[in-house]
Amino acid sequence: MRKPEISLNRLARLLWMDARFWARPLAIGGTALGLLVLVFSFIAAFSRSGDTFHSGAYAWIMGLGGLIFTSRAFLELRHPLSTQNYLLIPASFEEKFIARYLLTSVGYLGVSYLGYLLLQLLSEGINQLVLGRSNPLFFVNNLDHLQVMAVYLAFQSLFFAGAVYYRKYSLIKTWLSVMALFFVLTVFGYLVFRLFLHGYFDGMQANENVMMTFARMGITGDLTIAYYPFKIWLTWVGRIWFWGVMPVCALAFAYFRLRETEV
Amino acid sequence: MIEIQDITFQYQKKPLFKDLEMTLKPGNLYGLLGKNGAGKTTLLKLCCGLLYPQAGRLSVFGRTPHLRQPAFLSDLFLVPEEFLLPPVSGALYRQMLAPLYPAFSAERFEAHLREFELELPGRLDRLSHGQKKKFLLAFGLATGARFLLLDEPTNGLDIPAKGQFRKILASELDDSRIILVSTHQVRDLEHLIDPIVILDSGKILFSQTLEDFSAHYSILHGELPDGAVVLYEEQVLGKSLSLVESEVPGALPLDLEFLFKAVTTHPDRFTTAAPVDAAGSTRKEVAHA
Amino acid sequence: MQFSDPRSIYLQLADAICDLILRGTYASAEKIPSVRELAGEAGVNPNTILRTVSHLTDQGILYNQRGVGTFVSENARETIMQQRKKTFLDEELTSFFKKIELLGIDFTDLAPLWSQWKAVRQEVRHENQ
Repeated sequence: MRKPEISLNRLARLLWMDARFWARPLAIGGTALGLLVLVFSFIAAFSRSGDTFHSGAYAWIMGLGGLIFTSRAFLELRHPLSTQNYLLIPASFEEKFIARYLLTSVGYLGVSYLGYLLLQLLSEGINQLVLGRSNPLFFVNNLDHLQVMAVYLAFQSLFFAGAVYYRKYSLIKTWLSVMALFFVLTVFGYLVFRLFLHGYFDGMQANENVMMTFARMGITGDLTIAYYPFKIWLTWVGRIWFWGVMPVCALAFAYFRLRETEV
Repeated sequence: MIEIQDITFQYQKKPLFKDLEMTLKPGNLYGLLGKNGAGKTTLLKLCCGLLYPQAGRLSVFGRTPHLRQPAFLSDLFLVPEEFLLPPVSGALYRQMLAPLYPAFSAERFEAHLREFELELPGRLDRLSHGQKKKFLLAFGLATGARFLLLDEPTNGLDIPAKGQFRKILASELDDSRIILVSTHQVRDLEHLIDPIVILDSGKILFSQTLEDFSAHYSILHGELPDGAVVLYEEQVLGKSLSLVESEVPGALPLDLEFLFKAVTTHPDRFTTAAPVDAAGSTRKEVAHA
Repeated sequence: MQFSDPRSIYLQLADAICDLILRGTYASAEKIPSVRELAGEAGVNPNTILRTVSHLTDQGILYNQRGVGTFVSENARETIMQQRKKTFLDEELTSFFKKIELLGIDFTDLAPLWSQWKAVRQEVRHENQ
């Protein structure tokens, strides 16, 4: 019925508007956390227990901070009067959606990464000056932070959808929903296992009948090796689900939900 | 042109509009009158695409509101009765939003702010309600949007501001624009809003220009001529004030409050929508003369 | 309710514009402000102003130059004066006479009042100068 409309000019304007709006709260939050990091990094360096301090601190601060930020991405939708303002901003849904998504995903990652780089340099500079020793920096010789970012992106999509769906307390509600979802999946998996595969297992071990069947098929010896292709296959299903299906579904859900918002 | 055809709308289980029809033409400043809960705000929201009709067709300058296309949104401005302004300065607000309205006029914006004697030292969300309203009206009217919807615009304005608002609004109407003002404060906008649309319990009871109305009905004070068909009557200081059919010499000028009471009391006695089309053409003749 | 002036608003506006012409605010052959400007100044619906302007055009007080604007006619002042005199003699004087008759005032009693009024007026003018 209607074609998506995206103008880079309007998109840039929306991004700028949002960035202007968030600059202050993010700066305040960042400064508060930064001070905490300085204190704890100093303690860690003092007690010589800070080998993984920065990689850990970065992952937690970036991840949790980002999820909190993402859940507040659609702050306007919490109140009908501000929802009204937001919906009437002359830009398409696509532009509004992309602007918010870019801001909370790539934009946030870039800012938080750079911010933390500077912070740890500052922190270790202080430690070096005062204590004469420092904690290792987290980005040297490893790409772990890239993985942390990727995990953030995948989880973030869920919280992004939650921010559109839940008008109030979206962080908690999304968190509970994700837990509930995983719980339901676990229960479902367990039930499937009980109902269909129950006869083939003896505790966590395959039972004798299965062993015999495999033996007849010519598969003998260590069964972990025999199951290996299946395990690889399962891993791939998991990966595709986690990195592909889940984020795409969450984002699509968020998009359509936003489009259907009425005041 | 705005066309509303057979719109049906209801909140959850409470039906509001059924087969609602209305046409609004450019170059007019429509006054949408109605009691509280008559559906004025809902109608405005439908026109903006903030609510979706359950059935029927809505077209605003050829566009469908609920698609909320950028070209539609930048050609429309709603000043709601209640609203929030973001925690930014007036200058920043303008810097952020004005570029999204291609027809925005900085000159007119400044002129409106001057007319309202409004100075903007700090954050918009910290202004008083009246000042916020002045700001939003000044901005909205300067966007150059062809469709302006003002919901109870004079609520919260002080006495001088009401006069200033009248001037600004009157100077902003041009041939391409449709201004739709919903109000129950008819006194504030008398002689400004015309044609008049009266909405009551989800129905349009009346929709005509005052000129047409005066050609068909008259308000008389005291004694009535023989054979006068009285549509509505009210006692004022012992004398009756009556609304009679057909044009009578010596009739009093139209009073919107009186008209409103007459129409909402006896909706069946008035013709509704037909004369609006005729009104458009009489207006043209006047313009050419 | 407010029914002070029983005439249509467009006629009241026409009167206001005529007053401005008589006072010389709008000189003859001079362009008057646009409909939009007039509407803004008066705070009334521009369509009403349009009606006022076309009414005054019909009476030959204003004339319209296509694409340029609306101007005051050469003999606008005379037209207005003539019209007002006519209205006065036709309508206001009649009601004046009616009232005199009703209150039982002798017309000759009014002559001294008239001279007195003119004298006071003269004085006020001198003071103002």
